[in-house]
Amino acid sequence: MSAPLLRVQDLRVAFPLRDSGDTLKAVDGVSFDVAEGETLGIIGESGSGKSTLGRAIVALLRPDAGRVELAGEDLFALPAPQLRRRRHAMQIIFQDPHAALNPRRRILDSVREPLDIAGEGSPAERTARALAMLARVGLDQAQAARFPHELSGGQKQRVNIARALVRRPRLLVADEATSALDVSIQADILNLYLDLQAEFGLTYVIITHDLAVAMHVSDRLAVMYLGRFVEVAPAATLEQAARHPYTRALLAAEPVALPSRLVTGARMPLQGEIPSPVDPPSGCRFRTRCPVAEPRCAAAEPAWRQVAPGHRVACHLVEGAAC
Amino acid sequence: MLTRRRSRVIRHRVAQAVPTLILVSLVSFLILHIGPGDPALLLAGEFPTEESIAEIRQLYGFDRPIWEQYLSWVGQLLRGDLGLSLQSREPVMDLILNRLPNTLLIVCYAMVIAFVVGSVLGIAAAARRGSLVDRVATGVATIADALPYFWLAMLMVSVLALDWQLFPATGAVRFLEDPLGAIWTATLPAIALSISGIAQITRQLRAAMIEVLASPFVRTLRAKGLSPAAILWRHGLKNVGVTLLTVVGLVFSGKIGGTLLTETVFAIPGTGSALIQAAINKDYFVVQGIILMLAVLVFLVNLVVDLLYAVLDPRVE
Amino acid sequence: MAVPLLQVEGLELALRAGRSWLTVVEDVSFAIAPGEAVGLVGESGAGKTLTGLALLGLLPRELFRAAGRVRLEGEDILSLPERALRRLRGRRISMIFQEPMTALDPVFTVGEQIAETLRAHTGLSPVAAKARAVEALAEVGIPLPARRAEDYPHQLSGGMRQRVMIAIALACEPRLLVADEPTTALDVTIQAQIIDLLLRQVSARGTALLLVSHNIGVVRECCSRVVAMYAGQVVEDAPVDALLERPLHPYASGLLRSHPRFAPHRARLPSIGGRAPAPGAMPSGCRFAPRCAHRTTGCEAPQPLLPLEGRAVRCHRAAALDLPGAVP
Repeated sequence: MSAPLLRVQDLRVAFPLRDSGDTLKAVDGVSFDVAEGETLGIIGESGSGKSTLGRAIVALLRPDAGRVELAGEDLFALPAPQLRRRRHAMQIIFQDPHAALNPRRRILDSVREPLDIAGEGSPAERTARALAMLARVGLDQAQAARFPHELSGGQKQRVNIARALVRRPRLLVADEATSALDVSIQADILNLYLDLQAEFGLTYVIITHDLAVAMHVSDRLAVMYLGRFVEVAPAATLEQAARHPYTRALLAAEPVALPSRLVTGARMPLQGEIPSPVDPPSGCRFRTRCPVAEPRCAAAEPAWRQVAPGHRVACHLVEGAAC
Repeated sequence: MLTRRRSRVIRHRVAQAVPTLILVSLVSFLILHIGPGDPALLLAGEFPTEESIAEIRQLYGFDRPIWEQYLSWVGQLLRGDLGLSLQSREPVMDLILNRLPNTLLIVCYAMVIAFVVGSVLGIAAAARRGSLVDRVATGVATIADALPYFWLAMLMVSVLALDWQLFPATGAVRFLEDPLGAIWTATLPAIALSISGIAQITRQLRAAMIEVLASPFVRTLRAKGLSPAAILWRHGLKNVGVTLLTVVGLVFSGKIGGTLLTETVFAIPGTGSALIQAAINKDYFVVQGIILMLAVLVFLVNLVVDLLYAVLDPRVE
Repeated sequence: MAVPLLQVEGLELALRAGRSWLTVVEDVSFAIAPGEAVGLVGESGAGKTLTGLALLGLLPRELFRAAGRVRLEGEDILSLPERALRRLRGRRISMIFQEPMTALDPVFTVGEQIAETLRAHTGLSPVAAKARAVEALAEVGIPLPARRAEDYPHQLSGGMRQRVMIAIALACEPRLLVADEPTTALDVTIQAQIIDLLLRQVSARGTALLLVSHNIGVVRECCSRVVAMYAGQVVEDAPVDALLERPLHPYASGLLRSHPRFAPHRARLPSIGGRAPAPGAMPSGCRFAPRCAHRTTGCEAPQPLLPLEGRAVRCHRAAALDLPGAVP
């Protein structure tokens, strides 16, 4: 593998809580690489820190420790003006397609705005580029002249994609970007993601709680629980040979729309609730809900083990080469 | 039903009150010193001489540093000594204690009227939004807000008291000596004083109740089979409790200021009319004492409101 | 099918739009047998939530007009006066909602909110209702129920609040529970717990369930039969497995096939294309026709819901088409 486009090293983000004086460790020591043109899926439930991680990757918030390198450049070591000039290379799209658009601006203006701020080309050129990008995501000139409230949820998400891509980023982070959409609309948007990736050579980080979506679009998947990754593997491997008890529980918990004869294995819902990231359990953070936890799980944090090429697990009960 | 968390909140609020009280005393103290010119000159009356000014300066300690004056003033204050009236040479504290019951009576009476009428109008308007009740209530609130209340006071005096002789036109009866008579006499001033409060409470409560009735949990209550009355009076009322408390606190503070005019119009020997008299007579220690007393009163109302928040709203942290 | 517990016949709901009425739900018919679990699926705007609310008479009368029949044990809900509806709600038919954060009154303890339902429908004393509320919390798997009964909603997690909602809804042992997206706002592992709980509770009581959901996976886990809606109409009513194996309506097939599970890894998903029509702009014929890959002559005519192979389908070509289902 060539040098990765995105390299995240031991990233930590904590939020101080005003009332109690505690800190919420949203992201607590996460490291990974994403190669140019690759899609990494990050799966997690609420409190996992996946959204915070997404914002830190695109430098929307400053981590307390660790590095985020884009094309070999440490983003947080850059002076502010230089970081600002790098921002067009990394874009993020959020879940709520409406909240991200100014309700008083026409679609075209919203999409043109990044070009206006950068001052790229003449006004006519900028308009032409914005319109071309809108056309590329499937919105015509008439729709470009409308206001956000005149579009459907799926169309607004297309506008957000167009705005994110109009300055040709190298990295696109999508944070639950299809979660609010109906299945049939979600299919259209996922297709668009895949087409645009092929066309522009984009690198994706797809953050979602939806296993099926993540598995479909990602080359590799990372499973996150209470601020840490617990398992990283190629998508197909994770679907068929997940090793971490939490990943297995997630896979088993997903209600599948298959005829009964194709549904294998009884469902064993995980007991208990997700612990608070303010006071995570000692040792392995999943141990309080883990069906196979042992005393040593409380004593020490599990080290990363390589169980197959590209498949790493952080669990005491999984055998494999230390890595 | 106070949890440990809530009693901690209450202790915190009370502790926060100390600096406020110090500030209140400081402002009252500075009233005399902040104005242009020498306070001794102000106190010396219309025909000051060099000697009288010097005498006053020494008598009141104006020749000492200002912080020393403040500390000794606070020391007197803590002993209940607000100085003597320049006019009557009567202790200011006695003057206030003598008049305060009359003031408190009309303020509390006005609050009861504003609270009852405002709550009923506000809730009825919210419950039947867009109906005749709603339009009448909103109309009453708008008119009540626009009316100059001293004009209304004078109108009431001339019609209800002088023409129809239903109520006494002026004066006050001591509450402790004749409670019923005192309330009777205080009715017209209390109504006049309550008008803007009625408007405020009606409007705020209506808006808050409409918002509560539109919240998703009301659908759950309907799905449970609760009657509209139970939803309105049990759940609606408890949910607007915090708003109601806030607006009642605000109205109360406003009423304390409103006594100045009301007492003057109705010739009630209260602290409000005394303040105006003292201001006209340049009776500085009376002005200072009454302002301090009114400020402490407003402060106490706000403290009680803050404490009640913690009791009323389970979400107060 | 045995004597139905609930029978919906030709339900039509119209929303007030200024002076005119906009039909948002039309010709909705289905039945639920005692103790049966039926799923009502469809995408946003299909009219499934409105249908659910109409079953309890919860749509505000000044905004909605209902026609047709909704019979609960023979009694027509649509013609009942509000007072009679109130006696019915929470006692014979209950409802739970999606938002666990906002569906409970924030200033009452959860124990009070359960006890209140009991007191509204039974002659229980306040003390007895409170004791029963604690039992109800225990039944829905809330640890330390006596302590939790004194908690306010904001002190509980989303999953716990949804358990409380279930306890409220089932407190008076209703015959039918309408659950509107009860797990949509929850995390996957919590969703699994709540589904589990919901199923155990309704089967223990013999309560029938109408599960309103956009998630066919959740419906498969909970229900034996599914009613699929599109643009305000029922398009297919079938046993869940039969619909998943071989849907008869092109929309049902398209919906199932657009799920990422059935496409090869990173391949384009077979999408339906286009958007559902808006109320007021409905096609006069088959409402799905403009998006349908199997459209032919005859689709311009309004489509009735017709029985076929023991199901009901709103497509004149259903017998002739062989549509793919949720089978890899």
